[in-house]
Amino acid sequence: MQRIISGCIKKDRSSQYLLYKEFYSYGLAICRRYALDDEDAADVLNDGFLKIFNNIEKYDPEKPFKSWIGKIITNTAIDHYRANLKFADHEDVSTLEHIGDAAIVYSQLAYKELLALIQGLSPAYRTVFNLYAIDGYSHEEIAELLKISTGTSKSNLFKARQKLQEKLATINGSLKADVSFIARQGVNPINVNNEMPAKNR
Amino acid sequence: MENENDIDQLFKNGLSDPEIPFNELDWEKMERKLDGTENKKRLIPMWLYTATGIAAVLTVVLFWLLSTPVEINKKGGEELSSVEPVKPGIKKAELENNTADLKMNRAEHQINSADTHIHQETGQQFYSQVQIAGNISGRTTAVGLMTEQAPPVLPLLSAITANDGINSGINLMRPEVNLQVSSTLAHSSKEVADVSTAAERDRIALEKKANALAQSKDPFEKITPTEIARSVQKNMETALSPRNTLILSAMAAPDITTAKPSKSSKVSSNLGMLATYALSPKFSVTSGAIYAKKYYNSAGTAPQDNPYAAAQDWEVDADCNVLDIPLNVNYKLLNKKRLSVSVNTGLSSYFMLKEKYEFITGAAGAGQQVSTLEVQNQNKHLFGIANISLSFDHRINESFSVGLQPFAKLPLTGIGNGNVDLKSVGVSFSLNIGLFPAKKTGKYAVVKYSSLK
Repeated sequence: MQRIISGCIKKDRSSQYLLYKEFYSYGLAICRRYALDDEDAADVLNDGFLKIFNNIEKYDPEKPFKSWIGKIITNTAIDHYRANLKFADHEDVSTLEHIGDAAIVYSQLAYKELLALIQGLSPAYRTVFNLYAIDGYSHEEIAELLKISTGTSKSNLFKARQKLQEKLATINGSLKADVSFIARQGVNPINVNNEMPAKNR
Repeated sequence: MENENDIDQLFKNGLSDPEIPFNELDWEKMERKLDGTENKKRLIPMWLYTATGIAAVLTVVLFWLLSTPVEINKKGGEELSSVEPVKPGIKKAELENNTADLKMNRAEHQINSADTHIHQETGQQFYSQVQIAGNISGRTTAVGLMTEQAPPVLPLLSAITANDGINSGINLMRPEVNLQVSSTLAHSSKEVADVSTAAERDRIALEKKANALAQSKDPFEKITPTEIARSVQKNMETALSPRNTLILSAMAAPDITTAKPSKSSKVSSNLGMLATYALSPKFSVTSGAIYAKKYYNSAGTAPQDNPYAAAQDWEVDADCNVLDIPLNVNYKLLNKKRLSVSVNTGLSSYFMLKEKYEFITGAAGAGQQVSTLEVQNQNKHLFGIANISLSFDHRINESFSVGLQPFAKLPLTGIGNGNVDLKSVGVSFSLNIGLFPAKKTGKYAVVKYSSLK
């Protein structure tokens, strides 16, 4: 890999190809989650790779290369949709309804179905959910990245989960009755966050 | 809040590390993106490069076009300096002055010999052109008529000397000596026995008109001797140079196109229409459009850093439809009665209309993989190919000729999607039709002119 990276620094086309091919699936998976559709995702991926190729000399070899790439691609994707990110005003998360306890039932859902569900979210919900739940960003980091408050980040994450839960429920109508219940009052979502398993950062 | 964790986990597990099959087309787009940024950086040098090439071609052409008149002017100037300047303000009464007469006679002799020679070469055409030129028309009429029957006075006099004669003759005709010159000319022309009365009347009328124009106080009407000299010189040059001729050619050419390292090569084909415009007897420019179907391949062991098959056996078969727009300059080395030989050089632009590639990797048998790539209208290489060829033309008749042209096309840049070093070597066969052929007089004059040299 080091040889490929140094080849990319020299702008060697075949090294660039090898790097692209190596991280194609990884990068495209990120882009698809943030993008409206797969075609858009490929464009975002290439924008991201262009940044990678143009800035590869800035990569610090002490740090994992994959997460460096992931971060650039994620940032590219966010920048791409930044204009579409319309965040609702901050709401007190504690007043929000909690929905769903049957998600586990759908664990067998295929990649494409999950992707379709995520792409169906509004850009703001999708971005926050991606960053928090999948890419492992904290609310503080999300707030800084998206120039929003941590509260807005939390409420958007919450609403995103809610939407996803609803959609999951619609997929299997028979379970619809089970997925809706009033959340206990006074639950602090931050505690929920703290209970999250180790983040993949 | 297990359910929230569950949703996050469900998506995290389901979405974070999928196996998305690699799509070569996305890399193609990526490459274009990379090329785009590189091209932007390279834009100025590329422009300079192209501009330099065009400037070089123009310089050669202009140098050739301008070199002849420069020489004439120089020589003309030398000749003129040997003629004593005529005193200004000579009165009409001094018409018979011996010194002036001598000078006029000298000038007249020069005009005479020059006219005779030119007339012999370019015939009636030049005669009429000089007549238009004004001041000396009266004299020329007489000389022209006279020399039609007379043998050439100085048959071996070079055309340049002839020009000198004319130049000094004209330069003598400053406004202040105008009347004298005309009178002297008129006087000598009367001595020509067989001048027709019509010609005489024309001569007198033109003479009067020329004098009136030269001495006119109206700045718009006044014609200065330098203008006349320029006009005559221009007409001289036009008369002595060949008519510009346009030649249309239909060509067909098989060629062998190769990209290193090459295994075997199929024969590629070219079909096109070209137009050649003659700038001079020796120089011409050619352009047109050639549709080429190029087959080539690259095979062997791929280099270590090859993205498709690092250090493996591989083969790339390419089938490309290319529009080739050449811009060549031709120089005639030999021009015999029927055969002419030219060396041609220039640049071609390739427009890759369709590129089809087949990548074969791995050893023959079960392990062999074949992948294809097809792109359309994605690559163009402006002036990216150097042309060099030698052409042999056999004239069938006045208008038609057939040509045989061994050629080579050498890339100055990487060609096509793979940026390959694509060379073509072949032989072109052409049928050429000359349009707007040179007028006979001009043509013969040129032939004679070149034989005199």
